[in-house]
Amino acid sequence: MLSRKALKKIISLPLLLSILLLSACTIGGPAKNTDAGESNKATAASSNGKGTGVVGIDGQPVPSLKGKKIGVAAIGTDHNFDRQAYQGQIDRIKELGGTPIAVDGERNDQKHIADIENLISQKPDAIIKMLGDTKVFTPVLKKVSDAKIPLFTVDHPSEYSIANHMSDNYLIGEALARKIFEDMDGEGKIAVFNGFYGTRVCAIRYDMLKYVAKDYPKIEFIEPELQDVIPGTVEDARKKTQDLLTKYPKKGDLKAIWAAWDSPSIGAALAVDAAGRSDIKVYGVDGDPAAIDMVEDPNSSFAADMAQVPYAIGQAAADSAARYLAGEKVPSSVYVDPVLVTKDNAKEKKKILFTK
Amino acid sequence: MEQTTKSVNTKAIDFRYLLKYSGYFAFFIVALFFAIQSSTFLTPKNIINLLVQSSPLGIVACGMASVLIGGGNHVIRGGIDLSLGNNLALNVAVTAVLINGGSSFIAAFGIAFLCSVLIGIINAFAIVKLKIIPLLGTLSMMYLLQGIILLVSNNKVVSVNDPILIFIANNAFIGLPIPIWIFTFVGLIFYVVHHQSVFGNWVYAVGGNPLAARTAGINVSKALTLTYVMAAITAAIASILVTARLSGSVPGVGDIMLLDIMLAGLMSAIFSRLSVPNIPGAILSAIFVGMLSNGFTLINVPTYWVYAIKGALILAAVSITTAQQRRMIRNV
Repeated sequence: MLSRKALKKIISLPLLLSILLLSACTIGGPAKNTDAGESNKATAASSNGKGTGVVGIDGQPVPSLKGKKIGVAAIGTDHNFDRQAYQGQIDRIKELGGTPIAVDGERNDQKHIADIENLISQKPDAIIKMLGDTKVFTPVLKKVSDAKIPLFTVDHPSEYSIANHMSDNYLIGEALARKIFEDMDGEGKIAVFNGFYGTRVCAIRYDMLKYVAKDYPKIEFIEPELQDVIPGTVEDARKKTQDLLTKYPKKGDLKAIWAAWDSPSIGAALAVDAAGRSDIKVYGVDGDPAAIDMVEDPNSSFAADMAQVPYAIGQAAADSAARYLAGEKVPSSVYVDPVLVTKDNAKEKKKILFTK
Repeated sequence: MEQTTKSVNTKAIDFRYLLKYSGYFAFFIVALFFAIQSSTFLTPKNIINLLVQSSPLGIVACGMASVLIGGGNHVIRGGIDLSLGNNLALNVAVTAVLINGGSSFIAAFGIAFLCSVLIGIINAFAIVKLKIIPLLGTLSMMYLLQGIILLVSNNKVVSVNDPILIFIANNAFIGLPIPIWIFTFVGLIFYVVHHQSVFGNWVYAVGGNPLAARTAGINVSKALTLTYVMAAITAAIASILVTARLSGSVPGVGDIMLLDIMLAGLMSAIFSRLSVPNIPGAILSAIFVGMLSNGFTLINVPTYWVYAIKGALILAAVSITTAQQRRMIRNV
C-alpha cells in the first residue's frame, strides 16, 4: 500500500513537470500577432522593390527580415507603454518575415539582464532592448556589443545602441504648450507639477513649456511649483490640487494645470471635477488609457493629452533592425511623432493609440 | 510488533530509494527537455551563463537551507528567514550609497556586512531568546528592512562605478567567471559545515527534535543562533554579486528575490533521501530555477511558464516533506 502511494508521488512530480513543459511549448510562443500595420502593406507594395510590402513608420519601405532571429527584451509589460511598444516590435518583426524571440523582464532588473544574456547565447541577428536605467544595463549591453550582435533600443539611450527609438519630447513639450496657452487666450495663471525635473524627458517637456511661454508674456506660472511624487502619484496630486483650489477660489483665478506625465494630471483633473471648477483645464503627457478616457469625457476638466504612440515606436525599432541588417544606414536617434488628443478627436485617436 | 516494523521498513526502503532521486530525476528531465529542444542549451557558454545567473540565489539559498535545517521544516513553526531578501537588498543599498559617498569598496562593504550580521543576530535573538515564531519574527524584520532600504536609497537607482565590482562582474579565473567561484566556495563551505562536521549533526539534531538534542547535550540556542547569522552572511556575500551585476542598487531587489530564496530552500528537500532540507539540494534548486528561465528563453517560449512550474515544484516539495513527516510520526 505504502509503496504504491509512494510510487504515485514519485511518478507524479516528473509527470506534472512534463505536462507543464509540453503545454508551455504548445500553448506558448511569443505573443500573438495583431493586424496592426497591415494597413500599410498595400500602399507599400508598389514602391518597394525588395518585396516585403511593408512601409516603415517614416513612410519608407522596409526590407525583409526573412530567416532572421531578432531578440526582443522588454524590461516589463505592466504599463501601457511597455505593452504597446513590446507588441509593436513583435508584430512588426513577424510582419517582415522574421522570428522574434521575446523576453519579458517582469520589471526585475536582474531577470532583464539574465534575459539579455540568454538572448546572446542564442546568437540572434539583432537584439532590441526596451527601457530601463542606462547605467544598470551598460555592462550587459557591452556583452551584446562584444558578441557582435547589433543592438537597437527603445527609449534607452546607450553607447552600444545603433539606434534609439523614442517620442520627440521637444515636440511634445512645444505643441502641448501652444495648445494650452491658446486655450487660455494668452493670459492667466497656470500651475505646474515639476517633481521630476531630474528625469531628462520631464525636463525637456518642462523647458519647452517655459520656452514657448516667452511668446505669451501675460501667462503667469504659479510659484512655488507643485511637486509630484512616486508612488501614490494620483492621490497625492489630487490632494495638492485640492489645496491649490482653496488658495484660488475665484473663477478665472487659475486657468490651467500642467504635468509632464499623466498620473499627476489624472489626480489634478479628479480634484478639479470634484470641486466643480469648470473654469480650470488640465493637461498631461503620455497617452495613458485612463487619461485618454478622461479627455474623451465631455464633463471632465482633462482638456488635452499629448499621447506617445508606443506601438509605432516599437515598430520603428524593428524597422531600423531590418534596415541595418539589409546594409542600409540608420540614424542613431529615431523620433516618433506624438499625437495631440483633445475633446474633439479623442474617440478617433484612440483607434491609433490602442491597437489591442 | 517487530515483524510489522520490519515489513514497513522494507517497503519504505524502496520508497525512499526512489524518493531520494525524485529531485534529481525532475532536474534531469527538465535539463534533457531543454537540451533536446535547443542546441544552445548545453554549450559551455550557456552553462556558464546559467551558473552566473544562479550564483546570488544559490548562495542565499544555502543560508535559507541552513535556517530550515536548524529550525525544522514544520511549515508554520519551523525555521524560516523571510528577511534574507531584504537583508541582501539593504546590503546592496548601503554598499552602493557609501561608495557613491566616496568610501572605498572595502570600507563600504565592511559596514554593509556588519549590518547584515547584526540583522542575523537580532533575528536569532528574537527567535531563540524571545521565542517568537521565526515566520513572524523575520517577517517583521523584513518590513523593518524595507523601510530602512527606502530611507537609505530614496527608492532610486544608485549607480556605482567601482573597479573591484567591475572586476567581479566581468573577470574570470581559470575560465570560470568570479561569481561562479564565489558560489562554489560558499557552497563547499556550507556543505562541509552542514554535512561533514559535528556542527552539522547538531543542526540536524536541533531541527529534527530540539528536546532530544538538548538532552543529548547539544547547545540548541547556539546552534540556532549560528544558522541565522550564517544565513545573514550569505545574504551579504550574495549582495556583492548583485551589486556588481546591477552596477549599483536598484529598488525592489529584495522583494523580488525573496520568493525564489524560499523556493530554493524548501525545494532542497526533494533532493534528499529523508526529504529534509540540505545544502546540495539548495544549490541544485537555485540552478533549477535559473535553468527554467534560461531554457524557456532558449526555446522561445514566454518565461511566464516559469511561474507555473515553480508553483508545481513548491507544491511537490511541500507535499513530499509533509508526507515524510507524517510517516515519521507514524513510525515513531
